[in-house]
Amino acid sequence: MQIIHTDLLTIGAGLAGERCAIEVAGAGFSVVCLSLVPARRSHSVAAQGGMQAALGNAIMGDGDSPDVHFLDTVKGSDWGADQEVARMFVEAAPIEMRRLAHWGVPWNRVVAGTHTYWKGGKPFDATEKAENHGLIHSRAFGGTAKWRTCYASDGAGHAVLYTMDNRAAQLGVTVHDRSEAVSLIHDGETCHGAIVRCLRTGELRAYLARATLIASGGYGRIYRASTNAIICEGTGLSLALDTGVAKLGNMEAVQFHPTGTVPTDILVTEGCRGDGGTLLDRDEYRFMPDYEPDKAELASRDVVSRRMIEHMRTGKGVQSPYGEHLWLDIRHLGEKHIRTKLREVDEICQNFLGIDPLHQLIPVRPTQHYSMGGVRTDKTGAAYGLKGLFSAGESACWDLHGFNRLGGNSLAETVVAGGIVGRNIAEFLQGYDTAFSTAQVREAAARDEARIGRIVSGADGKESVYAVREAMYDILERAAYVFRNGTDLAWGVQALQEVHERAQRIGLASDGVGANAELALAIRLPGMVRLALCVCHGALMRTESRGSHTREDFPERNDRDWLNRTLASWRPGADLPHLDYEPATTHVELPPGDRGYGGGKIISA
Amino acid sequence: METDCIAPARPRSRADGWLDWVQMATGAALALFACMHMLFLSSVLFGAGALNGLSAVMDALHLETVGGVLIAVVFCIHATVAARKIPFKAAQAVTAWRHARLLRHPETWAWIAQVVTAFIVAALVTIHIWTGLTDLPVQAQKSAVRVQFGGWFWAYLLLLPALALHLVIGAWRAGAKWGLVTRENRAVLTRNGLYLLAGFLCLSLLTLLRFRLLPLD
Amino acid sequence: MQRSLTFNIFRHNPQDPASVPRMDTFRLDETDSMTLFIALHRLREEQDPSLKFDFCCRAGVCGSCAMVINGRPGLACHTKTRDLPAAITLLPLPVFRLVGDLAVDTGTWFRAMYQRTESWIHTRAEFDPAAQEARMENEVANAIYELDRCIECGCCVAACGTANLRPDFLAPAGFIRVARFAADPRDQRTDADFYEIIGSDEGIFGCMGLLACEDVCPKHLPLQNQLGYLRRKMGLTVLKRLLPFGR
Repeated sequence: MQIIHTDLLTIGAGLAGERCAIEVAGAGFSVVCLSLVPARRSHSVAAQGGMQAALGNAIMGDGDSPDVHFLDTVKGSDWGADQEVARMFVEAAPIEMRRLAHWGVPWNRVVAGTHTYWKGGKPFDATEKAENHGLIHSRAFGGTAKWRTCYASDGAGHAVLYTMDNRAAQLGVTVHDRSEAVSLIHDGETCHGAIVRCLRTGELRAYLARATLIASGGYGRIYRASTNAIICEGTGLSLALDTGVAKLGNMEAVQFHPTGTVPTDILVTEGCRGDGGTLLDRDEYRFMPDYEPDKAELASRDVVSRRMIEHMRTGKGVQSPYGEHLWLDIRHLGEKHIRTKLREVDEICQNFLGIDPLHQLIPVRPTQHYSMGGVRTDKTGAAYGLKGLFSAGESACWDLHGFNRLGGNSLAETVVAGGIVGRNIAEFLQGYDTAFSTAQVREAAARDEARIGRIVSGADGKESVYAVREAMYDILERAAYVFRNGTDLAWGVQALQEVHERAQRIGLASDGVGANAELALAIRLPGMVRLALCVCHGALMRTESRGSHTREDFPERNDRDWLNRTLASWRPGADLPHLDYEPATTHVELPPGDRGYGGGKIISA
Repeated sequence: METDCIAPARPRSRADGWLDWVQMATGAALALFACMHMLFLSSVLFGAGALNGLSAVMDALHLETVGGVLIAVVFCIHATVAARKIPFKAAQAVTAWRHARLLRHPETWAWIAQVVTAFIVAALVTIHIWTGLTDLPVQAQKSAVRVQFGGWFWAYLLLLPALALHLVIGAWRAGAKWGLVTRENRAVLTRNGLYLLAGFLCLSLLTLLRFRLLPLD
Repeated sequence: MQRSLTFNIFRHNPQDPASVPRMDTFRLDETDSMTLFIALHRLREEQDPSLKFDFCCRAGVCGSCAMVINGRPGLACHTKTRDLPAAITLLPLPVFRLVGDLAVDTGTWFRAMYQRTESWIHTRAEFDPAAQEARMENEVANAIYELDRCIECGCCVAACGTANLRPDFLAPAGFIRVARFAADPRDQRTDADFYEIIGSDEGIFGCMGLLACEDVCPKHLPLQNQLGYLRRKMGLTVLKRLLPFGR
């Protein structure tokens, strides 16, 4: 077996992983990044909106400061965020945006003079300051007091990821693409790297590293309907969970978006509803005013998603070969509006659905969008439980987002956290020595080899990997979706435990040779089911509603009992995650209060 | 894992840039000459006297001998330089052919046509220049004799469309390579190129027919 | 009216010594809004789990799923079966190394391209965290973004006559990368520097002007105009060396 030695091993080569890698390589250490796909195909590339940073150059962001950004972020998190982390983040974000500009990101810039902007579907005029001409511009995003989101046309994620990978190439960061880590090499105290499977050949390799970073993105794809790329299956989180000592934070905090398209789960912007689009059911009846007489379709994301699910439960959903959905109607907005103001939506409909939104209804359903939970780390990015293990980005629970992240904060987190954690890793590596045990490597590799062998030969059973995954999807869709309640969650936990049993008995239908996708999924799936159990079990235990976690049976935010973070770990041989809790934040700048939107009652501490 | 990378490019020289200029410049010069040559010969449509008169003037200025030799040289240079881009190896030729068949893309087929016509033009024009230059000055009767006897008519019937295709496609591609054919004007220039091709073909075939039917003394 | 689709798919597993390249035929009933993303996944999950192909974002932004669809390179995720005849032939992209069936190794090819083009900003300026960002005209930022939109799917490479004939050709994807940095005022490289990268037959002078790249690019990048621009720029660079003050 090939053994590769490096200072830092990065699992994931999206924005967070590469940003860390650049910092560490820049300090003179060797870095190898693993990636399931060529680095530039990482899911970071899909982010269209932009990155929040309080630069305050745009006139609509005038008077912005890290303090205002901090307030928005903590309120957005429903006080679930670590406030010390949030403070670090908001202070570092503007510098990071400038650094990206220096590296080559073509941020849109301020153009002095009067321009027409849009807010709530209505145009208005604003005059950009002459002294800010040519500085980085920003646009509006939900839940923010100021226009704070730096953007590069309609592809901020693309522009930043390409610049980041360019920078990584310049510094000689090695990326091993089509490589998947299947387990961490550790002794229960220190992490020593990973056993990695080559997705081209199927061979196993060992990577020995003084520091290991998990930057593998979210776990959205444990859900059937997710806007995430199909590689976002939470593999990095599973690796950490499987060590038995690392902990996952707030796994029940999962964000949903009301209007993902069916069948391909691509987002259509909220602008559709903002501009007057309506939601219809199978009878083409507009149902939202019945539930929300005042705001109808314009209620907050969570509320609209919940009402859509509620309405589908009454049997009013539209049946399709791809599951149940509802309709989004924008036909009445007229050709000019649809082809210009909503061009992006028009293109998605035409290109991916073959629908002309001017004449046809758009099939939509609430869709998983972002995972707030992840590998719990301290503020330096060091994972709980294992020395030498770090995490950053969506895969980490650093914890900037608490129970709800703001648009534009997630993409910014990747680079800001990447920079901070990267510097901390470089510091950690300075003068840090460890001993690699050959027995440890051999045993880890033998364990994985044996497990893969049993899956290929069907020694443990002949469960179909796709059938088991469908079962997991079905359970999560009923138990741990937008709406949650004790009965369904309790059922969900039990049902997932059965699915977990089945996942141990998966046997391949194909030969498993080479770049075999069935085998790759079969290796991952038991870990995905464990993540699903963390989500479900955490959600069952958390008897309150906070941010995106909505319990029908406990509609209040309960600061008295639940102003804390769930920590899930998986003890060897267990069939349920072990849960414990820690305070949401030890450093309190902004005491819990009302968010000012979203409604809901609060039980005060 | 690291797999082998594409071989790094060879050390830099200015040669490729120069050769590219030479290829285009010689091509343009030859195209221009071919057009003039054809216009000159097509004066036979107005009668043998018109052509003979023009020829006498040019011969008096020694344009036919000097120009002829010069063009022969340019022709050789163009053939040599442009041959760099022709897939001569069997494996390459098969790749190119399969690629064109798979892609079903008009410009790619046009390139295949240009390569094929290059061979026809190279062979027939070489003979044409030789016989032409060894039998100066150009006279309507001499040309007519050539066209009416010894299979030359059929050779010209092959050469003229080949030359027209090679020339028009070449001009269009040079425009595309150097950015004169742009995304914006591509459709218009393609249409104009087809008109040019049709015009060239009509005029040259008419001229050929005229020589074929020219009464011999 | 529901159609029954016939898929003719190239099959070969280079990791399996017994595998020989062949075409396999599959049948599938068409459903509404079916894309090749949906169809191929159904084939894998319902008919042949060993079928190999790549998808990632499935939304037309990551460039993973390029393949030859009825003769033309394109992104499978935004190809609707409705726009295709009932017989669909799928082949892997040529030029790139085959991973298996429809999956090819674009990653290695593009990493080599970054190294050849030195795909990063070349500047002597140091980043100063305390300073305001250097100003830039918004128009310039937009122009750079337009050239930065390449998703490295490899369609242009697969459609390029020269790239099919010579594996060392930089190909349109490489040229658009060079054009992106040539357009960026932050990059201090001169025309002479860029000549070192693309002033050869493996570079811009190898382009034959067939414009297949322009016609297949799923992002509609301005390949035709930019390749022409680069050739003029490099052609002039070589001419300038003739002049005493051009050296």
